[in-house]
Amino acid sequence: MIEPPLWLVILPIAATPVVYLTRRWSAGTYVAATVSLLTGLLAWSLPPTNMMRLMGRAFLLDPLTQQVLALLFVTSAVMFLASHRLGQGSYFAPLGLVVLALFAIAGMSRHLAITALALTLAAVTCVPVIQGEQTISTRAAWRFLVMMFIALPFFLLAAWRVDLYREDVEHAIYLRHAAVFLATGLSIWLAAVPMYGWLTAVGAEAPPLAAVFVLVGFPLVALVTLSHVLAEASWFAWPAEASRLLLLAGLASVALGGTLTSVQRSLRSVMGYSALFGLGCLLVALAVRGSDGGLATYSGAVTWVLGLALVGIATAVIRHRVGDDAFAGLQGAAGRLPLAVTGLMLGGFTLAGLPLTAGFPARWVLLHDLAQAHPRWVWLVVASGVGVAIAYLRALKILLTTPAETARLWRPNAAWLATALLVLLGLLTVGLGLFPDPLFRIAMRLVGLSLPGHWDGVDTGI
Amino acid sequence: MPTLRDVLYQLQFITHELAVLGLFVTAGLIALVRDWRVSLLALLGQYVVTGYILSRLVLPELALIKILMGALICPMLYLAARQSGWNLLSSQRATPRSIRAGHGDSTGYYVFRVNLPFRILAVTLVLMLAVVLNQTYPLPTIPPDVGLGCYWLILIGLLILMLTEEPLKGGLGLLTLLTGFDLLYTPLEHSLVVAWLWAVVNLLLALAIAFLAVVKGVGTMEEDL
Repeated sequence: MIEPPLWLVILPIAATPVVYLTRRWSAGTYVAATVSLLTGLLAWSLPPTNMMRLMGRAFLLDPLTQQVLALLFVTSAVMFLASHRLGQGSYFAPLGLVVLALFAIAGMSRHLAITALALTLAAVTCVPVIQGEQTISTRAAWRFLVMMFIALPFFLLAAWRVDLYREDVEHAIYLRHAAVFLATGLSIWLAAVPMYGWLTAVGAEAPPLAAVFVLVGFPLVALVTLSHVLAEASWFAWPAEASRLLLLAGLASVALGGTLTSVQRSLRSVMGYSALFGLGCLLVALAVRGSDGGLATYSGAVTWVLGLALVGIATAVIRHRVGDDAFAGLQGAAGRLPLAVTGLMLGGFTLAGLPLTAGFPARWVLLHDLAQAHPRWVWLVVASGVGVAIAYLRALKILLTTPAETARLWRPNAAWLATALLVLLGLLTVGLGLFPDPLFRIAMRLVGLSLPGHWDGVDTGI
Repeated sequence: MPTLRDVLYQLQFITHELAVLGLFVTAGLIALVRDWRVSLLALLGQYVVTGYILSRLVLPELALIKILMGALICPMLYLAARQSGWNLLSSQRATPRSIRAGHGDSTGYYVFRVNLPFRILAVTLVLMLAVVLNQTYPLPTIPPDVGLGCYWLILIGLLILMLTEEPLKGGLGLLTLLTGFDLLYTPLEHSLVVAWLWAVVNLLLALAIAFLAVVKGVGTMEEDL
């Protein structure tokens, strides 16, 4: 009998051939979105499961992984739907499903080597997705590929050191080595400064929806892996050093992301750097887990994904209609694309953490936790958030400016589905900004399920 | 028909030191020579030499997998290079003297952004660094000369990645780096699942490199080497 969690792998893989064969028609998009949505709902609703043993390795679908995979699958469903008629590349839907299956394997794996190899396989599969249909530059796909492969040896060496320690528990030095290797590998996966090049390059050059898929998927799976190690690997059980390193990495990403976002000159570049800023905030939240046990982390992750999804869809629509996403060519677009521009602003302000958007409550909790632990860094996070907001306000100014030349070639509007999704997500972000209780309720549930000790007695193999 | 062990017995005269010297030559060629044919041949030679070295450290059958991996990867990259239109002398890119002199042409394309003397200097420095690292931080469970080969391949792979953003050449650098890591990791890892997954990852990496090379569609300039 097939274990229920394995359906999270089987369903996307099984749908891939159908989606691939129909990729040039609307049917491919709809099938991919449907399968992704159903798998996400399945991930959300699965009951607690036991450890599985496959090929001698342990796999476990814990509640945190369950919710993160559900979020990834549902977000991907939205991206697939939005990509209808927006030209994100013919490989986006079929390979996207394969990547989701590999994310599920990586999330459920309890052996660092298997997790790293699965995520690296996902990275290779993402290369055509990132490249899309463009032929001018391969910079983003290449940089992403190189960084993911440079991270792989560190995880394999960390796994080897952990296995050595298990064979000979007297040699604690092995754990120190494992921690160093693991920290290096995770810093690449999490795009911690200075390893952030792949994140911003993908944001700047990949098709917008494909970029959101990659920017959201890989860091979230990396965060899940980090959470597993922190919660389940007793040898890595929250030493002060790990907390300090996480905080430093997070603050560096926040500062750099916020500063550089404000000076970008295209919508996709702004999206890439604001994703870096948001990821930095998540790392800071993880480092300063307050008395609420990580409420800021989980609620922040959801709003980060929501903000990126809004920005990604809006950018894709604007780029599709205007033909470009560089600020220089966007003058006057707001008059023709009011919904897309509104979605762009809402998404951008969500990422910046401004009031009346879904990002504000989560950011407030983060600042509260940070103020308790390290008060002097609160203003850095606030100022960097202002940097992100400045970038989107600059974009708004240009979008509202009447162009000097009135004759512009506008592509016909065929992306009604993307526009409808923009409206839905926009209402959602405003709704969560005004009434954040549902968001915090889900986040509190996750906090309760992922506290250390929840898996006492379970040898997960990490 | 001779078995694998018979073949290895015949090749016993090739010592570790000689094999590592082979790695110096192959990786050096990849780093210094622009011509993709020479580079691919060097990569194939690198896989063969690596497989030979590993046959002395692990089961010969496992080492044979590395050679077979190389035998699959190199033709893949060869076909990609041919399809992407890599020609030393392309009639569409007639090279005026100004371009030969290195005074850029925006329509031209350079595999390496630095010229040969700089690359020779960089390779020499990398070699010295590999020797120093091998003496200061010897790698566990493998002989010192093989450790030197590991350091050399990893560092030269990183150097190539730094010198070019062109997918095919950079891909050779990345594969070289992973081969160096393979020399270290294969004797350490006893799990067949991980070994199998590692091979799959390498093959798919080559596929991704080939994809990017075809998309890029590079035409090389007529340059030194």
